[in-house]
Amino acid sequence: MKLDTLIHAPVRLRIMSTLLPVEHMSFTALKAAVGATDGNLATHLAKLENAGYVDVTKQFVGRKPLTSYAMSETGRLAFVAYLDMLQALLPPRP
Amino acid sequence: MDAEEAARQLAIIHQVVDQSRQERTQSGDIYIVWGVLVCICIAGTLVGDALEQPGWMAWPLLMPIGAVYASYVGRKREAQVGTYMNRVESRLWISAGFVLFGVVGGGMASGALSLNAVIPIVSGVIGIAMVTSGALYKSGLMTWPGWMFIILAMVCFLFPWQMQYAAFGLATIAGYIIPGILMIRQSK
Repeated sequence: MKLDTLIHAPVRLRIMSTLLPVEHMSFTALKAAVGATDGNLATHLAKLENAGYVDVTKQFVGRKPLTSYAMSETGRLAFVAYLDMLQALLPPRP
Repeated sequence: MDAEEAARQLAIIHQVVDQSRQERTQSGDIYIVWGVLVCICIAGTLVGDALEQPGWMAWPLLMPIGAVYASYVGRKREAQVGTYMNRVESRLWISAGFVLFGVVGGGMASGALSLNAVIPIVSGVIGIAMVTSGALYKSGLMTWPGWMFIILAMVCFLFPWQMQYAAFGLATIAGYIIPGILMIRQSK
């Protein structure tokens, strides 16, 4: 069994964990939650987006552009598989 | 990766997921705006009653301002973070608002509702919404004032309407304005 390296990277793991329980999150809110810089976050989000793990929505709220991210179904399945692999590494409970 | 590292990774994931689940945009300013508007309306009603003037007119004039402000700010914040709990809370307050505007406003306008029943209904509906919001986010700043409004709703019937309004005004300061200020301070 091989861990999904796309999710395993620390920043991407935080992004995926943050997006798991929410319906969507703006770039600004995600940046605050993950604690990454703009450039770093954008790079990691682009990788997740290219893999189809996150969906991106661009819209205008008032006159300001707003980019929101949500975990895709593919991303959700990949994240659950990643969690299952981590669980499998733990020693069996007595 | 060994078992120890896997356990550490899982603990981090659980922590981040829990934090994200509790993600809530700060709404202290909405509580303060509603609190101030309600206090102005109560003062207007009581002063108007004493001077035999239509001070109650403050309600239909100021409450829509609160509703427009809350919905504008709420929508803007919901665009930032959309969670299931945020959606439940916003629908809860919208439906509570419709009950208050529709039942109380309609009841008063049609004369079907006596002045003595207004504050118990308003206080009860607000109390339910606050206790539920507080339970959703595990926030004592909403839960305890919510219970205060519910208790107020139950005991209000014992007093004349002027005292009910005065008590509701004090409850609004204690249950809306002060928690609103504390919410803003907590978020900083």
